[in-house]
Amino acid sequence: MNRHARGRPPADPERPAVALVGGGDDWVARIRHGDPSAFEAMYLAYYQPLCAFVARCIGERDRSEELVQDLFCRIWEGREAWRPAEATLRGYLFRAARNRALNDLKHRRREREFAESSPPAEPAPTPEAGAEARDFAAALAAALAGLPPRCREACVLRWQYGLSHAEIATTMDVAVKAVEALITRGLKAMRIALSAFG
Amino acid sequence: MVDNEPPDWSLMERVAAGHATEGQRAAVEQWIGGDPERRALFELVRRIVAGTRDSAAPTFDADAALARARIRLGLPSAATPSSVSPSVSSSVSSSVPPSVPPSVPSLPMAVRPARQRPARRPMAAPGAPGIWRQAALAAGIVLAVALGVTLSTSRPVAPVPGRTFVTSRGERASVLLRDGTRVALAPATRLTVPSTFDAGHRTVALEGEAFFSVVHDARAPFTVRAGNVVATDVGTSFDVRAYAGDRTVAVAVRDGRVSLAAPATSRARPVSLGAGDLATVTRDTVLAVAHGADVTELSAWTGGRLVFRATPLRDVVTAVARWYDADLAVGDPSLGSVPVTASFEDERLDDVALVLARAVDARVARRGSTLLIVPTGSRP
Repeated sequence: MNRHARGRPPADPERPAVALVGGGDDWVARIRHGDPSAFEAMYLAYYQPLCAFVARCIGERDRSEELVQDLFCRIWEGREAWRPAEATLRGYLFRAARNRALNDLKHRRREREFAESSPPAEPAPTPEAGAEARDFAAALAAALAGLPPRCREACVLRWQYGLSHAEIATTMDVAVKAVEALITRGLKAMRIALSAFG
Repeated sequence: MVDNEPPDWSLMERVAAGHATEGQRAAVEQWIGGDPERRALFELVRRIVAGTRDSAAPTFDADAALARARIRLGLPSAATPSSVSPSVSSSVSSSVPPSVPPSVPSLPMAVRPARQRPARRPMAAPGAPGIWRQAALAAGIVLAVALGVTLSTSRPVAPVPGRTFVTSRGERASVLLRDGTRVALAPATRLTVPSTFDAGHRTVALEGEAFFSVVHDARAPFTVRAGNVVATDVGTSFDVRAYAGDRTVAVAVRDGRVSLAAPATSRARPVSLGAGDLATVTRDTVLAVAHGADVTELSAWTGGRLVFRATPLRDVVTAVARWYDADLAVGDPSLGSVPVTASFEDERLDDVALVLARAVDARVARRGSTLLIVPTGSRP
């Protein structure tokens, strides 16, 4: 019964969530058995975050969608033999997406890993917040862009997509301790960059 | 900043990112200890994490991509199986009881704190029409899988004719009906919308709990059938709780007016409820109305908060277990009736169990995968 994050209250349906309640490991078993509704559930749950993540990796929108669509199609086509080794479905998907993104970059001979020129995170629209909030959002985006690429990647996976240390480790193919170090380093650097706001 | 105890960045990050235990959160609070500079540092960390989380990312159309994938992979296009709709809508319409004649005497009423009181003159068992419920159940089991798709995407869903929306234990959902009415579904809930639903005729069936924010339309009252109860209003927000295992159906009105009837008994005249009224209806259709109820508390679950006021532990445990989809139970009948006042928002289940046990001077024991609340002196 690993349908969702054990021990956690139900997700707020109004807030976008990357980790879906009612999905995850249960979907894997059902997809292996050819259940199209579980596959579609996974598709709808992860399409947006995976595309956004791949778009960051390779710096392109349309290509990121192709890569994610290919990933999902491969999963379905090979479903009977599909045995994701990662502890969570989310960890598997992010890792697989990242691998595809990096391979794509390699084959297209572009050296933009988590590049500066990738679509920068625009400050979220905050119509009701004041000028201070907008300034903070802009400064935060700049501070993120100023982090070393792997640092930024780990921090984004952690804070924007909500991945656990273990999932980030499996996505980036590094040790869990390295993930913790990257995130701590990123946080400290962000704090210095944003010290005017604290 | 004087750092005789330097900040634990990893710990602060954990707390800010929502991956911390109760103990870790307490540790950070302890480290802050009223020092304004430390407080400011931690708040900045929170803002950094939250700001990154809320950074806009480019949006992608998952539905369109899925539609293309279905073609490419040859998936059946029936994620919403149409074969089920006719039976759902027909079962709903068959359960519609005859309209209540206006001249019959009103239901026996009592006004006091919302607690169930048995009828003085036992009434005929209402024989709550299980037809719609069973058909919806059957439909729900088939549809739950597919509907779990749309429900989980956190966008309100416009229904196709004759649909049932289902949440499992530990899951919430939000539904937008064709007339603009919004319905928040609690865990383990079934909302059935017949094919005849439109702006002119607004009836739904509910098993479980939902909060309705009804678009005002005086010409077409909005009707909820839940258990043995029919709630009607013209433009209101109210909560209906009608879990199959409960002994009562409860309706709490936040704004506006709701007319409540228990049509299974022909002697009933609808009772009118206003803001702050909490009505509980038993299977014997005895209706109790409490005025001045805190409906905000009762419906706080729509905002992710569970609030209990002097609620027997067994009922709290039932609600918490359903909310978390957990194996949690009261291990000793003597504890079940102890009243508990508590509220929970984002805690992990383990912490909730501890709080509940402490509230009744008991402890938490584990039996396999089940958490039990047992008296302190009992054997582990």
